Amino acid sequence: MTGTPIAVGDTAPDVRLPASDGVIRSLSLTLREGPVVLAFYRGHW
Amino acid sequence: MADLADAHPGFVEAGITLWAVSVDPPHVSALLKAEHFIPFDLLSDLDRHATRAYGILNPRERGGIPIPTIVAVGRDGRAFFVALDRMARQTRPDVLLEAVRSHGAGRAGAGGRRWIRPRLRDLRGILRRFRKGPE
Repeated sequence: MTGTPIAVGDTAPDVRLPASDGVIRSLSLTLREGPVVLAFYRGHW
Repeated sequence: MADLADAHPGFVEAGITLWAVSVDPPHVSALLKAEHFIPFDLLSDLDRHATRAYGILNPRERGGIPIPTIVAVGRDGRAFFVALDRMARQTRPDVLLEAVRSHGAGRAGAGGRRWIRPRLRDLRGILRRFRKGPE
């Protein structure tokens, strides 16, 4: 593992990532609507 | 992922956005989403920037993949729930939903309490349930 894992109380780094429809999702913008749960997973292979 | 998909209506009802993040390209995520009827967005962290920023990159596999991690972020931009690796894999969606709800409701008008920090005893209860594992 590289870096220090995020912990409770840390400011979550903003992310701007494309979804499967190709449209960018922004964490900071979406947080205006309410909480966001990010589930990082290993991926499909 | 299937468990989260099944629980997704509860998250929607509570006004909570659920995203799954991997290093898969969008077209692969689209296939996975269609194959498994996943109702929430699958995001592509192709350059690993987000995975690195969250400190959860495992560089030893497939050019770097995330260590399974669940992070719940409040409207203030701070993480109020984090489960890493084995704990993330064992996190039951109902426990996760309870943790988010106890932190505060989702979007305005979605019901529930708002902006109330989880009490220590809430966190202890959640940890106890993690340790017990699936029933």
